[in-house]
Amino acid sequence: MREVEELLKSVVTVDEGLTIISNLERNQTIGSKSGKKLSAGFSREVLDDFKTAFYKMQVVSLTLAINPSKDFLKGLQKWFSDNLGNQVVFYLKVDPQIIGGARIICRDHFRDFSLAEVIEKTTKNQDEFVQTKPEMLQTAII
Amino acid sequence: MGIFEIITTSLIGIVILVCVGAFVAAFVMARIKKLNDELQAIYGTENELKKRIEQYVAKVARDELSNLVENYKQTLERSSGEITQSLRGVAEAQISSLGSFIRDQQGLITKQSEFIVGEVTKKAQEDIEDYKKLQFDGVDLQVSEVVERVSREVLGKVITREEHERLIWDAVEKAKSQGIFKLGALGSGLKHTKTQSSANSDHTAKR
Repeated sequence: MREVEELLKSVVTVDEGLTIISNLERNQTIGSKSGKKLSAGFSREVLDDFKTAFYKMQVVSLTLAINPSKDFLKGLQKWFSDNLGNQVVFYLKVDPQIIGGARIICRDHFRDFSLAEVIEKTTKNQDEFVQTKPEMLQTAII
Repeated sequence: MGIFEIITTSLIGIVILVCVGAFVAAFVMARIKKLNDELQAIYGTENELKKRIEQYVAKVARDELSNLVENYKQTLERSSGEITQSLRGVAEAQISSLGSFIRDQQGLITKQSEFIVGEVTKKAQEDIEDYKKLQFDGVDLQVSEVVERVSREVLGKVITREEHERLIWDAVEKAKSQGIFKLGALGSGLKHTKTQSSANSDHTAKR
């Protein structure tokens, strides 16, 4: 159905999809009480089809340091859809503590490509170096 | 014949006539008396007769009047019944009409109330969305400020938006190269994500 396809194309994040479902159900409730038809030409069939298609979408969890723009998310969505083979929707979280990069959960795989992880690994390596090779550090200082 | 004879004959004849006449008159008078007596016996004296006639006339008049009153009463009852029926019909029609009017008005009021409730709810939702957007815009600003401060403190520089986006692209490319697009143990879907979200406590940004 064309309306369902248009709605699915507009959805980038899980929250957007759930908001659309909530609005459609609310319009449905108001419509059924007064006996009026639903507004904007939406019907029960559209709601059910949208819910079915939405819940089938592949979910990718992204934790980013910034709140990305809609265009950037659309680009990411297209890249993921091309690589995964079906339409993707993001479960988006913003955590400034990761500083940069991203933490990704996709198909039960978790990867941390954040700058915080890189810094932590680097710091840990330096600590290990200082603890295991003190004589080399003393030489370096001199 | 002489005059004397004639006169005598005449006198005898007159006497005879008078006698006959008297006899007849007596007979008639007796007869009349008898009849009167009979009549009186039957009908009484003249006063009684008058009284009987008056009574008869009164009775007849009373009967006639009674009939007239009865007829008038029946006519009146019939007419009043018809009028009552007609009035009842009119009242029932008016009550029915009023009932329909009240039902229509109630339906209209219900529809108007639902419309108003819907509009108020919709407006409230819009206001909530506007408030949320405003608050999240504020949060976005705070997040940007925190990122800037953290990156400055940790890296000694500010990471621009373009650099962030490049870092994200690098991350996803690395993820692809490490094979995260293959199916894991549990599969994927929104239900799995909801399970994961309960284990995470990070801040969620909405656009």
